[in-house]
Amino acid sequence: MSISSSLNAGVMGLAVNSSRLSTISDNIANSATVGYKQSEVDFSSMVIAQGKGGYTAGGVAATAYKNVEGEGGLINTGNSTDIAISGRGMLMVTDASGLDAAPTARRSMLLPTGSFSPDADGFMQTSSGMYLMGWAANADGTIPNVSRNSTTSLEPVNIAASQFAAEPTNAMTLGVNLPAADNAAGATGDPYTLPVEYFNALGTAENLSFEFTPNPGTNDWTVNIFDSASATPATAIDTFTVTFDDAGGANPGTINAVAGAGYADGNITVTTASGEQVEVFIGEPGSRNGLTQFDTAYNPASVTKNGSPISELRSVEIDQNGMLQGVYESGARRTLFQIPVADVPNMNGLTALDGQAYTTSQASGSLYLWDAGTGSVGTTQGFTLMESTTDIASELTDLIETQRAYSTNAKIIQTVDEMLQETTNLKR
Amino acid sequence: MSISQTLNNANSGLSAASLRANIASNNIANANSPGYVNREADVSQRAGGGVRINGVTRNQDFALTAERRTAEASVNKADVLANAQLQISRALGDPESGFGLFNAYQTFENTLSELAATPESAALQDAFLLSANDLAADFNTLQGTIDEQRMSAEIAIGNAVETINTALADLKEINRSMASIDQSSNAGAELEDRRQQLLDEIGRYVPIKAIRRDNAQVDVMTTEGISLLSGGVLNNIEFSPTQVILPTDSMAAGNLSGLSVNGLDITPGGNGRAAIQSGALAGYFSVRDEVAPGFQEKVDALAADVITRLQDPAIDPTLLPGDAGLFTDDGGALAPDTRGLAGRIAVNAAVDPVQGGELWRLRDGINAAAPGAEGDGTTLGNMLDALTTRGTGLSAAGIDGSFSMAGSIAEVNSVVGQARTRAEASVASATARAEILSTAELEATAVDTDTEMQNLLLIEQAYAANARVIQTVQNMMQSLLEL
Repeated sequence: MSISSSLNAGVMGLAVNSSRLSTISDNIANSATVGYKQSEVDFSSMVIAQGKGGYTAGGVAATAYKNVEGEGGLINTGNSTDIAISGRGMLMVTDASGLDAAPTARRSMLLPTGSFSPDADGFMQTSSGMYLMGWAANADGTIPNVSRNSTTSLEPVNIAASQFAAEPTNAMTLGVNLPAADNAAGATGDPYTLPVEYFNALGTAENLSFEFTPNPGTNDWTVNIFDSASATPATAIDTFTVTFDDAGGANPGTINAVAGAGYADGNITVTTASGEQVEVFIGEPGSRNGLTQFDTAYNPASVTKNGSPISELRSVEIDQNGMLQGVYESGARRTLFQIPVADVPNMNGLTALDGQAYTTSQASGSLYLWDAGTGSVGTTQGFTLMESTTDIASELTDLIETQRAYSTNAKIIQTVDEMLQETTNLKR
Repeated sequence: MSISQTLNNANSGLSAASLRANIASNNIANANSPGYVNREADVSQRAGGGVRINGVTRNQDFALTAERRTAEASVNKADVLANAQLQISRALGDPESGFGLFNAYQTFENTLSELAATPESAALQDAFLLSANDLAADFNTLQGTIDEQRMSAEIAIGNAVETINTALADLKEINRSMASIDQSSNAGAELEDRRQQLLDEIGRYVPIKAIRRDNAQVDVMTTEGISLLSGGVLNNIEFSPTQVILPTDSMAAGNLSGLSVNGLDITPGGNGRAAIQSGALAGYFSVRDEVAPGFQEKVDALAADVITRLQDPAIDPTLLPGDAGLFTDDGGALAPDTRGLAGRIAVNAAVDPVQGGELWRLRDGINAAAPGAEGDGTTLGNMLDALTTRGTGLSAAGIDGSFSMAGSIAEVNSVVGQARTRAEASVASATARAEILSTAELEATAVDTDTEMQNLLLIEQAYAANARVIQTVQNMMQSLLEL
């Protein structure tokens, strides 16, 4: 019956356009929601087997979906732990019930972007109650082997345990020029002292004093190392002699030989009072990198060391590779967690949840956790949020279009009604 | 989405423009602040559109600043020395000025020669006694000047050491703060300004080298290589001031303190490699240990000369060897140790009625028991001869040649005058060099108000353009909503 099929088609047209209107209103309502992904409606025509000489309207069906793949613009914020992903991929989060749950029982969700801040217990939380998850780093800042296609290695990010950090010094570099004039015959032989601060495992600042004593008439410098932490600070904890190449040598002014225990690959290994080994780089023979003896002023131009004193956590920042770093008062940075970027084969198949979160579904395919900036996923950005993907201008034009389509569909119904009225009126 | 991205881009442009305006206004406001270094906003393109603010850059040429600091240290040393020489030279006076040692002596000698001609005149005897008292008082005043010079140098050293140590402690604190803040922020630039001011402050007293380390840390050492601040290791300069300095005090005698760092002697003027060579501290030490004692030596030699010439038994028959003459060394004959003699020289009490002496002894001999013949001017004539004969009294002060008493004083006057001229010349040349470097540094770091004004125009345009974009977006949305 073609006339009633027209009526049906009209009704279906009303229905699909009202769902389209719903998506539009939802999109406009969420046009300022960070991380919101635009909902869209796909219309598809329906066809009914046609008889000869007639046409039966099949009508239209609507499929609503979220365009999760779409990426919103990135906006800068003032919070270091506002995290967005520049490119494909999402952050892994859990809800409050997941904090204490076992990894396998924990509810994992995906979140496009989030403004995280530590809660009372140090967990990084959004205001909508999502807790950031990541892989905990080892004490030395490296990331252990983790499972990338399951969430078992993930744990809620907690910074309370990292409130204080100290990193013991285990390497120093001495780039020092010792004046050749001080080794000229008849020079006074006064020593130069270079104190270098180091930190022990407790984060206490101590210093190693390097005393360079010339031996006038030779090319030798005796180096005594004193440790302020030693019970007898005036007694050298290590002594070695550096012989430099003379003007006629192969590499004038550079180290020719080092006489002392533990000199290898340009390093002298010094054991401090607290028993820590510090590798002191003094340079390899023939190289200008390290100690030199040229006829210019004493110049400790490049003296570096690693390690940091005990200090309090000042802020948490995320770098492009997803490393969540604690920044301490001492200026030291330490990787606390790695935040992986999750990807699924079909992003649009993800099931949307409240709070712009998503969960995997049959349609989305299985989860894979990438390092940020590798594979298909983008880099993590701190101080950044991803805007809603809603484009107000196109929503408004869609709105006009939908309104027009809706009223036209209503007109069809009205026409069918009038036509049926005509038919009814045939019988008086 | 594209429309809101447009808004975002315009917004980021607005904040970049206002940051630049902020920096420009700060630059202009500080155009005349000493130590302020011109700043610039460092912006770059933001991934995904818009502009990104990376931070604030300070335009400082550290090499130039270091050179200027060294030059200023020499100016300060020369300045301190010239000032001391000027004070000494003023106190000594000169033959033309109408006051000072030379004039006092001239009056003394003239009165003596008048008295020798009319030995019976009680008025002239009185005048002669007065002039002798004046001469002794002039020597005493010079001693006061010397003591004051040394003492004020000592106090200046104490203050300088305290200033340096405070500045070092502040620098250590700045190192700590710099580590924990964003170095490219405005606060970082302000800390860096403060740090440069502190380094300048230390550099005035001691020539230093500031070595930049990782993480915006600065180590400080003297140009001689003695570490004052290394990371968190602070090595204070040690000095123990004394409350009073006697003419016999010296570092060699152990009464005066030198400077040391961690037990290592860095006293300016010392022999060691670590001895500080320049800066105001070197100047103060030079005044305390060389200039003022050198002058002391000369004045003492003059005082010794005038005492010796007049205590010779050959000129006054009443004197026995070992008796004090007209002038005494603190009441007695000249002691072998003449150090500080200028402060001790006095007129013999035997001729001073105020101290129970008799005026006629001037004429009849210091130890005369009773007045002699009123017209006998032999002793006075002998005294005049003794003063005008050439002698080598100045050799004790390292000045060779033989001079009459007046010649000796004139010679010392000329030596002191020359030293002053030399000191002033070295100030002039050191200042000229420092000025050149300082001008060069200003060119590199100071605020160029013209450029800032040009920048302001550009900033204004950029701001207006970004605002215009926002307005356009609004108009676009408006036209859509009016459909």
